[in-house]
Amino acid sequence: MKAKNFSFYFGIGLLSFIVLVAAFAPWLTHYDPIGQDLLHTLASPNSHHWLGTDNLGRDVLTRIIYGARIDLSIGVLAVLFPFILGTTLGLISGWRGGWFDAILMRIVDTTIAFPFYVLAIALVFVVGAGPKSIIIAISLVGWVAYCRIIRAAVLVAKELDYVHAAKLSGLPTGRILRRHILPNVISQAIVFSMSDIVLSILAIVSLGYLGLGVPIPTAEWGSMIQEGQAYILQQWWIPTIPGIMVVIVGFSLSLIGDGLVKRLNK
Amino acid sequence: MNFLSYAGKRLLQVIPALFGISVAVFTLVHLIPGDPADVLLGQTATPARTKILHHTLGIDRPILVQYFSFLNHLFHGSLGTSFYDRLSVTSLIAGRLQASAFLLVGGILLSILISLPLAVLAASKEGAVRDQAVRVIPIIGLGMPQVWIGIELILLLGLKVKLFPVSGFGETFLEHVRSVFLPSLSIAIGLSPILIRSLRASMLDILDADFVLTARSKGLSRARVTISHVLRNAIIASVTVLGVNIAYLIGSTVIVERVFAIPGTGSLMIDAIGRRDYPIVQGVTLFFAVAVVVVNLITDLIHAALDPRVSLG
Amino acid sequence: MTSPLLSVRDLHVEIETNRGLLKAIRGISMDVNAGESIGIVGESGSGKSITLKAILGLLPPNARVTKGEIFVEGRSLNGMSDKERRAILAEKIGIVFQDAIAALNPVLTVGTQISEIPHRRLGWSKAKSHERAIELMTLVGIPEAEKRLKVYPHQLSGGLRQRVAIAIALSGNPKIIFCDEPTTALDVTIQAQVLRLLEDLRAKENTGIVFVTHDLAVVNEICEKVNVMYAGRFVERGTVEQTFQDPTHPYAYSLLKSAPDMEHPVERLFSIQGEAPDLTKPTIGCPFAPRCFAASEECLATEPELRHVHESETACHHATNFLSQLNAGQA
Repeated sequence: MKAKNFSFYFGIGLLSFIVLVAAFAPWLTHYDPIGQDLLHTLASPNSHHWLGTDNLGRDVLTRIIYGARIDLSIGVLAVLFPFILGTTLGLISGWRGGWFDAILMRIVDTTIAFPFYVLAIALVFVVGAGPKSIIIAISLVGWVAYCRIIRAAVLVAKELDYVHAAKLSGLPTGRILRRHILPNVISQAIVFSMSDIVLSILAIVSLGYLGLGVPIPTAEWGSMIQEGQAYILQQWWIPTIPGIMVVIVGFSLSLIGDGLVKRLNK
Repeated sequence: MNFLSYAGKRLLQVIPALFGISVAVFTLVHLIPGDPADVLLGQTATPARTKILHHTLGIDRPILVQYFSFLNHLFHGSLGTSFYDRLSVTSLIAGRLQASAFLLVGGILLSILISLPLAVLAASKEGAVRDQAVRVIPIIGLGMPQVWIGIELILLLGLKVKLFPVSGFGETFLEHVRSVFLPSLSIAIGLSPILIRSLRASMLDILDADFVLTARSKGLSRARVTISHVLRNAIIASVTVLGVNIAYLIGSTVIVERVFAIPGTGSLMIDAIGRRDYPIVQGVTLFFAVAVVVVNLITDLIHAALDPRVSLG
Repeated sequence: MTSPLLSVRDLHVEIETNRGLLKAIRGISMDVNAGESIGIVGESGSGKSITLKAILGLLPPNARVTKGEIFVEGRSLNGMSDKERRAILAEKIGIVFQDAIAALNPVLTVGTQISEIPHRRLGWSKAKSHERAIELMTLVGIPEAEKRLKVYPHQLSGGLRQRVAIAIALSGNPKIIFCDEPTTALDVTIQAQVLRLLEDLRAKENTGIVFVTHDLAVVNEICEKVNVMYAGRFVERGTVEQTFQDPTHPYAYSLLKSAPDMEHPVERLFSIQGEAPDLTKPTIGCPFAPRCFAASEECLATEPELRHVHESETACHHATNFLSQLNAGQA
């Protein structure tokens, strides 16, 4: 029991640390994440540059820290919108059923027929690269998961006795959904959102790698991996460390998600 | 009900899915903010060129007419022509198909080869050290970017040990296989956190099932119990789990092709994006969605062939 | 005197759980002779199913036998290799589980599963094994056996599935059949048919039957002897007639009183108060004491062993023939 709690708090601690470091980036490093220094390119780790410099002489550690700002904030935003959209639609769909549900489910089926990355890439292409497009693209695909989770849970919850009672007592639908159904069904969506943040960060990194994400020269883990690939034999850490950062973020969110499952199952 | 009537029923279910895909892909061009032609042409836009592109895209006509003409072309196997080199998108995709198919099959095979044994190992003694060890993999592995796995494999197995080629697709069958090994491995490793988690749960269900006890009570050897009773159910579970994740797997090929410079369908799409070659982007998007539907159909049919509960419902 | 078919001496089983080590079985001994039918009754969690699985070596990975000896026809299984032990047990004992849909492999035909022992273990030809399967299916009352050889478990009704499971249990010609609540999942008419089938087998083939259930009516119908199990031990044993007429253990007495429809005059809706003890914690005294109407200081201090009381064996410091006394009191 104690070990489980420990891993939950360890996950929160780890994530908080990364978030704090990202938030206080300007106070922690005096380097400019996009400032080039062509006299000191591809430097090995030293006392000035703890993780060395890249091919344009930028401090790698600084770029990693600033990259955390971009990847984490877009990652969270790209989950927030689908979370709200999918939860709302799932609530209505599960509660109302009928034609609304039928049409929505067809849209859901169609969306999941597309490989996530393919649809995201196509969407970023038509909407244009940049953080806003990434959030739009991921939201347009990501709401489906929340919609399905919530809808399934609502179908169960609406047969509960006290929900029937609330219905019979003539409470307005909106209130029943908000006060009686939502608190019952939201927990599964919250648990899923933990791993979904990881998935959306992975998408940002992948799009960044493909040159479809946050435009260069902004420090972003995906484009850092892409730029570092060419120098992999000499400076293996340049593409490796951004990936490890994603792994650490994923690890802490997994621990938090698992911890939440255990708490909710109690 | 027998297998054939199941297959027929399942085949009919494909139609609404294909319809939905055609609508979605058709809608894509209309999501472009502002005038799609201007956006697509970018800096090369002139009033005359914009007008021509309007006509080529057909967006100067009413929307339903556009959709039916799009459908009509689809039925004739036409996905339009590339802006860049005027080749038919269908033939361009066909030319890239082989490499992607190699990668997909390799990815599926290695996924099973990696995830199934680990899942079996973990499930064989729930809660034991080996189980705890395997259960850590999904927790740590969930955040591994596909591109990053690819690059690390290039570094470790391609450049340091020089075991496998790190880019391209080669000429002969054997070279193809060698070339897609590392990319397939990246796909398999990337997918393993999800697969291991689901397969472990399925294996626990199977090994815990009373029919395994029945088989053991018959006094059969351990190997016989495994082969006759556990293995087939495990394969069915793997097919089911793969089927659920097939869209993700196919999507991974797009990214991994890029990392390893494999001339597949995904690379075609990314290259086309660089040239703002809209018909190719649209065509490949449609192709991938159809591929998911088809591969899903195939996994369902394999499932039905292996599992009498499905086909003989 | 010849030794019994099966003899169990002082069997102990422990299970590793999240809450700690669970002492599921705490010293059980029993003998099974040819043609005998023995019931083991108890609430869920009392360890009845685990007893059967422990004897057959079918315990889940987190459970293990920590003490005890098993004899098959007088031969001790202790010190035998795993393989030898499995061979002997499988040859002498068949088992039927509660839920046939779970106990049958969903992806193999009924015929394959019934002919598996003859074909794979006895090394018979495929054709001969199939013939044997048809014979067994007819024996357990499956109509059109030949046709049903090729169907899958999910295509059969619940009653037929349980008959298939019994056919499998019989396929190696065992001398004893273990029944782990084989009728619980069936509706009442089918339940009666399956019980009659088992009774016929016992009468005709002289098969020994060990019947685990929480249903006293079933024990009353099919068993000659009964073991009442509580918290991993037998607390009362005797003939069904004796024990049901005149239980000598307060737990057996309470169980019988709580049974809805027995042949004796009992008050309905009497249920035993309290919960079964948590066997992950060490037990001090009689584990039934906290729920017992007759408990005394002595019961809280020392755990009673089985001893002869009237015509039964009972593990109770205050064992007596409760029903007779009650009836005498009322008269």
